[in-house]
Amino acid sequence: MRRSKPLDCGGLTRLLEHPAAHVLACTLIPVAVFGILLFTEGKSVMETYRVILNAVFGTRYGFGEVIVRTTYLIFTSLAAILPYRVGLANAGGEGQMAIGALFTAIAGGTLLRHLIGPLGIPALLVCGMAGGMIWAGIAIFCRMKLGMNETLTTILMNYIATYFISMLLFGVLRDPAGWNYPQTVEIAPQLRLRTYFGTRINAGILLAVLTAAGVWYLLRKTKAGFTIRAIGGNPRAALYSGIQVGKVQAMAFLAAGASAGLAGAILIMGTEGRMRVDAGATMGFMGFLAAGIVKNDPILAIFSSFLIAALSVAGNAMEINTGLPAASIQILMMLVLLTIMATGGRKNRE
Amino acid sequence: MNEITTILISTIAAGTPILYALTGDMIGQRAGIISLSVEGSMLVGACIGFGVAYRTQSMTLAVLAALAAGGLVGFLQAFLAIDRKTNMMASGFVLMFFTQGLTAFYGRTLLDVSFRKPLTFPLPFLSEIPVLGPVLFSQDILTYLSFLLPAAAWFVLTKTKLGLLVCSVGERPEVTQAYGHDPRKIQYAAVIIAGMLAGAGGVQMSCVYTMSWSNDMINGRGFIASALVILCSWKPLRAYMAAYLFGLAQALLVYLQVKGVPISMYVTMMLPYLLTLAALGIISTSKKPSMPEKIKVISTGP
Repeated sequence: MRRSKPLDCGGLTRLLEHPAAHVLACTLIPVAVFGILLFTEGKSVMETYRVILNAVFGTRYGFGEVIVRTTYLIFTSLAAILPYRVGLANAGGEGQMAIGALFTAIAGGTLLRHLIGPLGIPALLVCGMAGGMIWAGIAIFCRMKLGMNETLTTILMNYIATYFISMLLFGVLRDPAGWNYPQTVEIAPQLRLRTYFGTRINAGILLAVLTAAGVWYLLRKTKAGFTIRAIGGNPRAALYSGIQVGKVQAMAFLAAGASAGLAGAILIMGTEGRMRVDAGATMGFMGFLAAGIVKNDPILAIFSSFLIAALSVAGNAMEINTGLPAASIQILMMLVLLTIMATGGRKNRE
Repeated sequence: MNEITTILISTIAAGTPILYALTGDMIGQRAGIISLSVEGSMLVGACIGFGVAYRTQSMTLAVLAALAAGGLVGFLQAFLAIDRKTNMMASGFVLMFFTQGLTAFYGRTLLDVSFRKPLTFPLPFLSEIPVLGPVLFSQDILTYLSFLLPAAAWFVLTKTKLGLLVCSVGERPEVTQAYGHDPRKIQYAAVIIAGMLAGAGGVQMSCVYTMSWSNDMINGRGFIASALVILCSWKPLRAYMAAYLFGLAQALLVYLQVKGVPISMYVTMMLPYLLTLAALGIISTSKKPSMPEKIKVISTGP
């Protein structure tokens, strides 16, 4: 079918398809545009970028925070990547992570309180995964049995998760000894992850990197990965060649939920110790972004997660130092993604 | 004013922003593009509209600014979904994230101010009718226009050549092409209009309904509107039903809370999303004969 030509900037587009030029453009354009925004609002551009860099690389604590957030983002970006590879879009990492965190906090504070660490820590990780899987499972059930679009379902489920958790934290789960703060009881100390280097860095980052590598291995080197790639390439052809597309899609979606749930488990066991309202907020959304920036490549997602984590820490520093709201940094993140989407050559999925 | 009147007034107030975004997205969906970006359009419409209204005290300028800003987000969605072939659900979702950042940035000076210009314009005689008068005929201009909007969309989509063209793009773009029209341009126009209408819904919400700006104040209403399009089976006239049912649910919950019925505030806040999900589930169990072909592909798979 002939269609009119898409918006094309001719030579410029072709130049940008060179990988090095592309990376450069996707760094410089967003930084420049964000700089112009700052300038027009009467903020010192250099000072703001200095604050950003200093927050990330200037202090041990700041860099530690970046690594901690990278951990969550790797997991939540994998939660977006796996479904993407089978032709689905999971926008529910946020809710799945939150429910994973909730399950971990409840189990760690009540049922598994007396378990010794070597048993309890894996058990809590499983609890987090189960929480994320349940939340993702509802969405994939709606897709498979009712034909409901999974992106819409998962977005709605994010909001439901937030209010559901608030309801519990202001209600039955509120810690009686917590000075009336809306938070659960603290999980048992032997179930917490050790932190290193005087920061909040914990073993979660290793688990996250290994999981990303595992997903890469699964996709590239195994028979299951071949099946997944076949579905991602052309679901209809895969269906006709006898692959149980629905089953594989459901498995990938549940695995995605488990991954986001792990982020929640590590949030509780490593950093928070208990569930609070807003704990880990926006990490699920940002994971979706981190996945999009690297076109859903699990290994590259480690790096994009680091980038987004750094920007997110920078956002908090910016709020404190320059009075700009932390959410402003989302503009910069999105500009990176939009530049990539808009200049990414013809390789985007049909 | 009796209680029923009060509930109905808040039904209209809560339903109107949804009605705008719902009708807008329905036009886009009939052309084959889902604009989850109406969430973002509503957000920028609410923020910029409120900012302009507060600075200039002119509602006309505020609405124009909101239309432009909402349309711009619609344009981004159209570019990403049509030309870059991005997953249209994903691009709508990330545009929410973008607009959250932009509005937090530009709206930071608007957080502590309110815009209290009286905007209601009671129609002579009609507003004297008991119950119906205060509910339907003592509203602001944007709400009056919203009463006409789905009917206008219905007329254009089903009774005019232009509407037929839009719908043909959502069903068989190759046929549109064969008749000498460019499906791409029609889709662009439909998605931009969706964004503009959502922007109008946003400014209605910030300037008329809440009379203030707060970060992320749309809070998923655009997504809900997008979902309700399915509940309406893509039929414009059903938009009244969907939007006001949604408004009624919210109004009733607020009413019950005021009456001292012990419901957790968070249940109240959760219910719109839960209801939307449930409604989608129920409608999905029936066949979907009216779903535009191009939309079928992305929500039911191979």
